[in-house]
Amino acid sequence: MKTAVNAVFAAGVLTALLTGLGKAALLPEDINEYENRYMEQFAPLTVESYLDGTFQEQAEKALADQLPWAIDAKKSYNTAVSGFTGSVFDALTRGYREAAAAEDARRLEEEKKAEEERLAAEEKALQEAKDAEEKAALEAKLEAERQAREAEIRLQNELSRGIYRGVRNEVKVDSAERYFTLPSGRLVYKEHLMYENRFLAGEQKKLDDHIEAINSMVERHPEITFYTYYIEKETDVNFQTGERSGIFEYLHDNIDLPDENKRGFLIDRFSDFDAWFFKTDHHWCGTGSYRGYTQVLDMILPGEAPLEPLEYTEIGKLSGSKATGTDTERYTETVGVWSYDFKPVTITLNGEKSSEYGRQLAYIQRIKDGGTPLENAKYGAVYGPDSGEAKFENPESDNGSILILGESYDNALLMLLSQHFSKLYSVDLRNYKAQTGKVFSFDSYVKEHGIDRVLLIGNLDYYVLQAFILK
Amino acid sequence: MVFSSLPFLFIFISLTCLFYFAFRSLRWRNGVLLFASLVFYSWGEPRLVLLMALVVLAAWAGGLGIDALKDRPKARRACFIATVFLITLNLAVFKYLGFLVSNINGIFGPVLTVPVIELPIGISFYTFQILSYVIDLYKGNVGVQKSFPRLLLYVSFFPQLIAGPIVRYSTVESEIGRRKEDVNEIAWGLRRFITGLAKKVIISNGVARFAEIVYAGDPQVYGRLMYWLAAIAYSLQLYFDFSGYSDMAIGLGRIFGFHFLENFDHPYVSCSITEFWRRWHISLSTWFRDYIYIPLGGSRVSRGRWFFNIMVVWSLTGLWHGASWNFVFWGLYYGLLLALEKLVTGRLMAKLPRPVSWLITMFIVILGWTLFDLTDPAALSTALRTMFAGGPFRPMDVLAANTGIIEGAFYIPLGLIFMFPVGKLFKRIESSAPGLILANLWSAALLILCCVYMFGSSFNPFIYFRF
Repeated sequence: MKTAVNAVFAAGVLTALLTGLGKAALLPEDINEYENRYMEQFAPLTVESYLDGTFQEQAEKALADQLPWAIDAKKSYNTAVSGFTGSVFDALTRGYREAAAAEDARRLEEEKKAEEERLAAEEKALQEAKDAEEKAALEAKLEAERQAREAEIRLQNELSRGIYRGVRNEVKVDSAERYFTLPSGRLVYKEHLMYENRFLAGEQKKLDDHIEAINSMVERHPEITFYTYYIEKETDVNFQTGERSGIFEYLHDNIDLPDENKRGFLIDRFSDFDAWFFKTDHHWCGTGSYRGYTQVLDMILPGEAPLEPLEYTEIGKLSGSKATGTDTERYTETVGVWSYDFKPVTITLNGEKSSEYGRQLAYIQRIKDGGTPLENAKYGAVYGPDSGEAKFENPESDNGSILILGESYDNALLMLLSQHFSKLYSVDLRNYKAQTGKVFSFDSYVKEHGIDRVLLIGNLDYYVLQAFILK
Repeated sequence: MVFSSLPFLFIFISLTCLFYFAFRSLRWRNGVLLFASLVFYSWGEPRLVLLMALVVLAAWAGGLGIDALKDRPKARRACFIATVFLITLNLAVFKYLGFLVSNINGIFGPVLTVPVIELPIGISFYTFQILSYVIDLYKGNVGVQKSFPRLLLYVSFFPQLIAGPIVRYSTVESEIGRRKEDVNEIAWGLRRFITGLAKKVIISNGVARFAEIVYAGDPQVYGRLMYWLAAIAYSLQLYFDFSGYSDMAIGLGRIFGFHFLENFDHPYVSCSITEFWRRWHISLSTWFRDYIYIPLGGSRVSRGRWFFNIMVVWSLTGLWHGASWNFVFWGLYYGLLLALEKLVTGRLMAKLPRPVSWLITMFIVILGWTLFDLTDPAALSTALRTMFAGGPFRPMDVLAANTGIIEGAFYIPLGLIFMFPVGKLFKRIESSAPGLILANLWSAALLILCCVYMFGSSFNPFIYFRF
């Protein structure tokens, strides 16, 4: 009897493990609906992929996505942990929060009283103003002060409502437009989660390696027209002091290309950054990426008319990379996408035909069909994944072929740019080998595909990370 | 590859079992185990697997030499010394050369370039295993292994390769050549493996999060109480991680018909430091006892020499754990305490009520683990200062700093319960058939829960990178 019980147990465990492996390896799925992204897949097993560890790394990621009930398990785990943490947090801080609420009420009462007194004083001052000019100046000053107060209150409300779930009084909100640090270490400026500034001095050596590789490639291939596009983000500008990283200028001065072939997505002030980037994610939003598209198109095909955005649709909420894994995880923002009149193109991702690149059209349709907005949209799922190799063929264009070497920022441009070229190839060097099983060689690639133009596009990370160096 | 990972469970162990049991011949089964073990090691160290094979080759050739020179004692001794020297040199270069050069530079200024050498995972474990074979062979305690693949299998056998226990050749000598797998033993091994996996994935990783959050935060926010709790959490993490790995190794060994010795015996119930070290990492303590302490003369020497022996063994024990001064100090800390206990405090402790001697022992052990954990002198100094002279507990500030601490704190009581031998209750249940069904169902449920944790949490610290 004991032997039979044990045999069933041992065989059961082994069968369950093998079934899981079989499903993950032989019946892989494409979309992770829970996280709104493409699922990880096993990388081809080759001596090279094994020796450099990419096969192993990818196997771990693929199993975490593809095993039966993996997503449900992850969801249950996250729900249980956040439910437990949230209820314990609420129970432990109830007394404190009640006291804080009472304090808030008292403070509001005092503020209201002070506001009434201030208004009375303003009224009195206006009545006592001697002439019309003095009166107008006084009114302008009072109006400016009122706007500053309202801005500060709006910011305080935004912060206490969204970003910071903990003890509110600990966060030092400053009306003088300063950066501050959340207890998790994450920087905040106004309502944006931020990364710290990075300056030329700290990045120059790595930039030089990239510049050398780019210049060597340009020199070797006079038959190809090269373009570079540098995307500034908050790491390039200090909105408090106005200091700039100097990185775009350095690239511009040292890459051996004509000036008109080296452009940048430049940010001059916070209001630009606010309009062009997500608040919780490191990527550019629909408005920013459209601006990037028009600039890139103008650089490569001057005079070519860009696609016009047709309609803006809010597709749900986004809690992006900057909000993940910090005490700001509950901070979300609304995300919307523009619709365009895309002409049909043939899409091939890592050698396999695909009906779409990114789910932007599907998400818009979902909202139009009365579906529920997404609870947690992801940039990669909306605009397209970081594919090792993506190929777009547009029979209606006669503008030749282009190779785009970039990272995730260009995902949002690929569908748009595909409308203007006969063949558009996009290579993400981080994933090329793992997802296609081939080693990327620039010289062979451009020869094999008859590339006319090459665009190097990315933010600072693209121009400093070893993974993006061209070989 | 680590046991507590999806590739190990779903790719490695499932396929190894499938192929292993598909063969009937022991030669083929050993072949499957050897191939699997090399894949296991090369998964994370694709190139350094060759280094391990080379060291085994040296031991194998040395072993053949020692055996062949039976009638020429001087040559045999020279062959033995040369083999031990080669094997130890490998460890010294890969693990201690950088440390040595740093210290020379510290004393004489920057005269040498500090070599940057990647530390092969498990090098300390496999070196000690190989040494046990060579020393025991020289002493005549084991027979020579003429087959290189079999010796390579002994050293590289994946259950004990990267995190122990240090299995001596004498323990598995006969089982490499002749063993019998039995379904009851396989099921026992599986249950033991799952228990170890749960110890690692659920409890150890859970409490580790707590310690990590506190040590990464502002000491003024966390204060004295949280620093002590963090030290307790780290002590629990180390125990459940290490003993969990040992459980998994013992269980995996049993699945394939090998019987490894126990490595942990509930060390946190100890009422003296001597008792603690009899229960903690038994395979390492006995290795040092048999191969260093006793050859140095053990305790049957003058008091001064005995004290010297103790300090040598414990400084080496410290160094074995990592090439850094804090490990040496940690070893000397225990050497001094053990000497003191033997001479004076042991008798006093024995007279105290057990709960009091237990509390004193745990205080010493927790303090020792703090010394072991924080390799950065500044972090260690901050931790010790905060533990003994830190500020008060500020609950709202602690919660505001990182709510993740709530999750970590949940596992501390679990760890405190399961550090006692409550598992023995389960073992009694397994003796009846209905109890066995329950035990198997429990193990299956625990395995599913472990998988949920592995899917849900990417936090899975690996503490053996220094060994």
